[in-house]
Amino acid sequence: MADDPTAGAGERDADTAAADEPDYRFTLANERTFLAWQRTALGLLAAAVAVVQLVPELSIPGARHALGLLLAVLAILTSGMGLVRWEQADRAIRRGGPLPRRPTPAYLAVGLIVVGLIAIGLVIGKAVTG
Amino acid sequence: MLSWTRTSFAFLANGALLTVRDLHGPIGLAGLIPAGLAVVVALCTYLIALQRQRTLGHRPLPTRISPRRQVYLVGAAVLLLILVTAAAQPV
Repeated sequence: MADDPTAGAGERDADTAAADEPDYRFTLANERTFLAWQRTALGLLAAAVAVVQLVPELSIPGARHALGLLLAVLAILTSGMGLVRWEQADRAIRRGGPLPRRPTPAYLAVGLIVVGLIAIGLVIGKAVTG
Repeated sequence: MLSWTRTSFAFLANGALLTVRDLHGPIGLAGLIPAGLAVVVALCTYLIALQRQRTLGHRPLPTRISPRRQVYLVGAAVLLLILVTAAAQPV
């Protein structure tokens, strides 16, 4: 009996698909990193709402809203960066290439330092002016 | 599963914060939109968590497990929540 050439085609397709997919551990790690970025963005959003709504008026009029706006912008950038990094890492994992070396955590750190310094300045200003 | 659940909780916490804010003054329907959106997205994220748990619990593991659609959905939801919340803030 001659062998059916199509009999193993389904199995060969499955094998090819399995070979093309990266190690599942890398996929899951990338997924967890993406979610961490999104949670950071949500934390920044909560901080923005808290600053605008719950913090009493500061020494400089409109400072709360400016600080809240800055935090909201940082939240948007953090969420966007997380999404872009996931996409870049996923592409690199599938192609077996190097992971992206963008200094996005440094950008976030700088943003948080700026916000912190502004907040400290406003609190000191409030304490001094009464 | 835990990461997705924690993300869902983060959405819920934002919804709670927005609700507390709204309860301090007169309650308007427009003011409750960001809180409602946060709660809906939290629920959807938790459903994604359950779906991922089911997918990753299969043996043998499925060939394709990359959560591309779920990632884009959650990313868009976060951005939308930020924009809606910012728009709902009093000037």
